[in-house]
Amino acid sequence: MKKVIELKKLSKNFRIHKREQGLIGSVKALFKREYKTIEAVKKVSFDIEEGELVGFIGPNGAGKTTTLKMLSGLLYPSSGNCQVLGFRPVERKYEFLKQISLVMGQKNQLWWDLPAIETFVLNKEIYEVSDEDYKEILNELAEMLDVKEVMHQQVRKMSLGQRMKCELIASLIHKPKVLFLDEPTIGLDVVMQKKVREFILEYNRKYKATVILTSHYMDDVKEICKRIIIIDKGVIVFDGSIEKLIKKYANYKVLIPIFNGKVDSERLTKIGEVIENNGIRAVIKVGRKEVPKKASELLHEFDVDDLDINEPRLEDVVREMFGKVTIRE
Amino acid sequence: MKKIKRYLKIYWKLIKFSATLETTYRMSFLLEIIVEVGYFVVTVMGMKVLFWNIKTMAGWNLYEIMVLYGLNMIFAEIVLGVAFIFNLRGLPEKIANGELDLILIKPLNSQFMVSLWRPYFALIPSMLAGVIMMVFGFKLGNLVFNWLSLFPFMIIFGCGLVVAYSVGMMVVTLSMWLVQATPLPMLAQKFLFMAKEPFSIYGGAWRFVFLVILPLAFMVSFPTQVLLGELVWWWIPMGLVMAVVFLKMSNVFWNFALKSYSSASS
Amino acid sequence: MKKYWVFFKSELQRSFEYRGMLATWFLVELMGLVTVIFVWLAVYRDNLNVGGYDFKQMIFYYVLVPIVGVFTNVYISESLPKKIKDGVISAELIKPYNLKVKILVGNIAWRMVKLFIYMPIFVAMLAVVGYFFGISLSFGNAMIGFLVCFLVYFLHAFMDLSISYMAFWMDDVWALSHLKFIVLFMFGGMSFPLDLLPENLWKIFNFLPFKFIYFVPVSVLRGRLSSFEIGFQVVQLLAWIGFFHFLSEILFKLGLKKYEAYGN
Repeated sequence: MKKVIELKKLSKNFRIHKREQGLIGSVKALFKREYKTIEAVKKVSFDIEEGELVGFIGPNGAGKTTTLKMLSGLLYPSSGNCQVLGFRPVERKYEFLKQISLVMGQKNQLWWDLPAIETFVLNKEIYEVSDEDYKEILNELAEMLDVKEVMHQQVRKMSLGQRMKCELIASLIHKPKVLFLDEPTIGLDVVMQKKVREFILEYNRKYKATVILTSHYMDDVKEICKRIIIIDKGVIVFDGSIEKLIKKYANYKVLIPIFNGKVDSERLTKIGEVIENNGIRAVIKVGRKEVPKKASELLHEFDVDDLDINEPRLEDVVREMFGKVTIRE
Repeated sequence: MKKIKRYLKIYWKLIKFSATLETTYRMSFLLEIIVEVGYFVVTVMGMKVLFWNIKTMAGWNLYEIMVLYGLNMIFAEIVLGVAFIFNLRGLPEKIANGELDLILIKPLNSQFMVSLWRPYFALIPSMLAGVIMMVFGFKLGNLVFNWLSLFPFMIIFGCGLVVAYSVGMMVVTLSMWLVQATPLPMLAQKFLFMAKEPFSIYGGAWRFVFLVILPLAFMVSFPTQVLLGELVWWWIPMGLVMAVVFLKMSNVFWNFALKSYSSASS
Repeated sequence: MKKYWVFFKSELQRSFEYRGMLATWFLVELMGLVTVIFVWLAVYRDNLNVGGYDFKQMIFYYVLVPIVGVFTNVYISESLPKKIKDGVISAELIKPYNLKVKILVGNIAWRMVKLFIYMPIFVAMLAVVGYFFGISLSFGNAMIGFLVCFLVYFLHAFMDLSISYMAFWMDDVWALSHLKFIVLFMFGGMSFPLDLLPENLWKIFNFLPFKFIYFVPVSVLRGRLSSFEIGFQVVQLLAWIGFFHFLSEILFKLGLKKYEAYGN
């Protein structure tokens, strides 16, 4: 498979100046400035092949957006090699820019008081899309997102969901080969989030576009990405499939019994670590190797109506990886 | 050639968009016109008060100044309307909030997008007021107007517009480094309003400064003098050189600023 | 009382952070001054006396204008209308302090930092004028002038508050604020000394409050007014302050009623 993105030991450092609190600190800063170098991205390397769906996750400030910006040409790397579609992104050649698209969650490019379709036509001109290609892709995308009527309306009058769909079309009118999505479902309701995820999958299936996604929502990653790259403090801590992540970092499974009568948590602690218990339904962590033994213990000693044995959830695994850092679900 | 056609096509679309948007908001359009009328009245009164007290200023009489200030109104409205009101004025904010990224990601000249994206039309009435003032100046002052002067006038005036834009662009580009300095667009506009005065008020070394370093002379003064029947041989070639040089400088400076932006933004 | 001190301190710090912006605004004003000097230089080449001012006196006038401006210029109507329109002041109204006092206190804090930044340049300008023209600011005039400026600040502040409160009814106060600026520019004495006006116009604008923003304080600093005249001006000034204070209070109460009625 063709390599679309290649990163070798990519690094990015920022120099910021330290500042003290309060008025005195501000005045002091006038005369003497202390600088601090922040290594936002440290020698990151990975390759992505055509058509892959890759998720980039990590806590705030981990280096996700910085890496994304270097891949799209918005930031100069401090050192290392970065190639996307055979180009050095930072040179910002128009042939390169015409083949990529960057969608940032809350930022919009649609002209507010005009019908959405006007922005589509404008982008058509900017990206030099031919009339036939434009007609074809517009039809297909409008069909997929079900906005054939709506897109002729003023953006101002659209609902948030309709607007998001039109924003997506505006970003895809030039059929980019590589899609950078930065927090694409932020601020959307649950139904819309699902619709956007389905669309991205369908788009990838149909046009074989390579998709790189950063998100705080685990569901975005779970439903769209086959491969995840976890970045923390500028370093890659994991690169592989979700299953591999869970197997590698979670050496436990989760037993979920449903009881016939009320059971209190103290009695359950002999089985394993009790995560949840409302008396009827409990969630218990048990080491992988001990699952058969503990499961049978549970069934024998308690009045169990039903029992589920699950892999740990991705969000719990990731949360545990980052310790106290919260990741929205 | 194909490139120019493409940009013209895109610009024409942008003009149509902006025109649609202006007429959508009739109330504020009206208010803006009232403010423009206010400025016009103030300019006229200022002139009247000054010339109530004196006969000539730097060799110009009231009617010649009327023509000058009238042309200045047209000049200012063109530069402000095309490049400043919606575009360059908003640049410091776009740099600060990251909207500049959305511009840089597009396969289109970023200076074009940052300067010309949305033209502003409510200033057209002011331009008409400027024309009226010029006509009155000629009529009331019995000044001689020669149609032949229109051709050199348009060249020099055009050069002045390009120079004015370039200067404004360079000043606003400074906001890439001086993030706090949000009044930079106002500073650029102030420079342009300095062009209102006749070039003859400057003496000695200042003539050099305002001819070569900050070429105010070409913006309003020289074009007016051409219309009033005066044409010095080096005005046209020098104007053209200034226009090309300053435009190129603004482009080089902008690209340099982008490099800085691409190294530092986080 | 202590809470207003806290506001003052925090606005002081904020304005210090924004010193880059304040410095740029100063450059903007400086450019205006530079142009003015050139224009009048040219005018005085052909004329010896304009409206009772010779060249030196004219330049002195224009040097005093930005200095007075730091004390008397108010930009409240640039930001407050938007806050009202956006509903931001709802949060402030339920807090246990007087909103207007808070605005004025913060405004004064910014003014002080502005003065701190501009002071060296003002001193330099006055020194240059003093050295080359032989005109200087007498201590007595400066003291009285400062007092007058202090009063004028409140006049302008109440005027601006009144304009800002129009945001309770009007969609876009910007035009009104801009028109005020244009009027001040012309008839406040910023664009030219008011005594250049022909007799009939002068009578009109002597009656209006705009003259206080620049013309009157500058005239006091120049030592052009007798004690009696100063006293007379101050009485007028106090009357206008009372008027605009009253106006702003009424507009605020009425506006608040409308504001709350719509459950903003």
